[in-house]
Amino acid sequence: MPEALATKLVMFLRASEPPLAAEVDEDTSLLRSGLLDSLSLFRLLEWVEDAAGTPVDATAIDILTEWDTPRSVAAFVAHQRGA
Amino acid sequence: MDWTRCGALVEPLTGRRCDGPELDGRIRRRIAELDRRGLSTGDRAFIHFGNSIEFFVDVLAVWWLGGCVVPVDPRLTSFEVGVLAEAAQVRLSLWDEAPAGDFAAVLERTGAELVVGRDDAAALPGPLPQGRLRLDDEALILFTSGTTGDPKGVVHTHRSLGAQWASLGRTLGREPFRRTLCLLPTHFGHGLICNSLFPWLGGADLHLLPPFRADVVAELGTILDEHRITFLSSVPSVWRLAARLARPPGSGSLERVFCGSAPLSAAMWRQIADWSGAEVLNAYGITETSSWVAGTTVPGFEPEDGLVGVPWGSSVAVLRGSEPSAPPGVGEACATGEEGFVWLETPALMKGYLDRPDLTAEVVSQGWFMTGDVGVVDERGRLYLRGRKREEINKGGLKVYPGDVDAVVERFPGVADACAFAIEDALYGQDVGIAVVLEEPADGTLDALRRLLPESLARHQLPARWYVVEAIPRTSRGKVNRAEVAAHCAGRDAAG
Repeated sequence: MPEALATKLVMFLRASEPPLAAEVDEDTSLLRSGLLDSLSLFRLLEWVEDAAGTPVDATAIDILTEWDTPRSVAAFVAHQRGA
Repeated sequence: MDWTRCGALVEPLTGRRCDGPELDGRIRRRIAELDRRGLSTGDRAFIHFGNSIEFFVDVLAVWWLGGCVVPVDPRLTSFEVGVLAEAAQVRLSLWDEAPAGDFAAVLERTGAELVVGRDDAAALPGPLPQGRLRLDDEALILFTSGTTGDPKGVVHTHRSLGAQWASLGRTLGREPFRRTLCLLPTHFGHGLICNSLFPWLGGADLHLLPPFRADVVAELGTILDEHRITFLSSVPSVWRLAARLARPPGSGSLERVFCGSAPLSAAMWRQIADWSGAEVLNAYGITETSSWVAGTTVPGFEPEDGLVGVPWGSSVAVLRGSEPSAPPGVGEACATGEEGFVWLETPALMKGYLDRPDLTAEVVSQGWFMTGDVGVVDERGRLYLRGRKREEINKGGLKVYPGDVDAVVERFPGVADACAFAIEDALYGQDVGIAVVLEEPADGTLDALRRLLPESLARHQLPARWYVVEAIPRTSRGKVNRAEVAAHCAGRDAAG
């Protein structure tokens, strides 16, 4: 499931308007690389909450690590769903 | 100019710090270098980078030689930079590293000389050339709109900037600013004049972070704690993001935070106070007035929607009219509690718009500035904003001018007409929407347009939502009513 979620997130990021400044795949660094600006990060938070089906307290986690790539975001969401 | 009174410059992400003799040496070397390049009184210098030690060194070096600093948004395209360079007739174009693409060619065509990097290991120069800074000379030009064709540059003199810093010092004191953080862009009046230069030139340590970086906002609480930051200013969108994503600061160092450049709701105000644990002040200002000219003070104010506060070293008047022929003292003043146009009088007012006395005369009259905001003053003398007459899109505090977007989109083959307008956005408050009329709706023009637009428009100006419409209503004089277009599009499906 995390693999499919990661692909879904990649599709979501590729469809960003305005487009992101670089190509994205499942292992692209989104945060530490500075690729996501504040708006994109806000959209990512909304996507995570939507995918997880629950509000997320992101202030309690290290998002630079847990959300740095689509794959890690997908793993986080899968964990939230199972929690 | 005495930079020995300046505080330290610190870059938390790189770990660099510069103060005392090192800062003095850097400034002296840069003055010597720019003097060798022939920078002289009245010359303008673009600075294409910001939020770094080198940026502030360059500002002081240019000023020492009598030059005028023109900070340029590093996100602008080469097309936009070329438009600004033509307008400003810049003598030098300062880069921290060699520009990519065709920036160099574009700038050289305008007659600007590129200066890339610096040699901070060079021997200290001998005696400095005589300082050439004069109070009424141009000090700073900030372009607020027209990057795609009709630039509007706000010109400040050393007198207007000095008046602003003196006024803020008297009104706000200096103690809370002793370790200031700036994560606003330094090409932006709020970030440069008030968040950075006011504290730093007054002796405070200035900590510099790159703007717009999501990872920086996510780490904000940690950075505030590690550097024992006492003050920072920002815009609602950054606070909104920090409150959702960043661990709050826990060291208790933060004493005061400002929020400005966009309306601050009472709910957001409380959210910032909860997250930061500091006193929250609302700050109101415009680039033309050297940014902050009014706001709340502590104690004395409770969060309220639309509340601006009281004047900070300025005078505020609310009139029934906005015509420059009838400024305060001539025009009809509103009664207490009556809505009208907000006018400001401040010694920090700009000299005018660069080479546009016509535009200046539309908003400046007998020392008063017509803000374009609609507001009301209550019986306690507090100013509240109720709306604005200006048509800018306030994207999280940074302004996007719809005419700039229209001008580029309309140039594309296959586009018959275009109209950009503000759309609501959960993070920024407003974002850019655009309605386009295509000559042949199904011919792929829209896709090509979206693909090619980033070559001419910086990313923050790119539309977030597109609407294909049959026509854009205009008045008989050809003017477009953006609010009407926005309302028309609101009920339709976006094309992207």
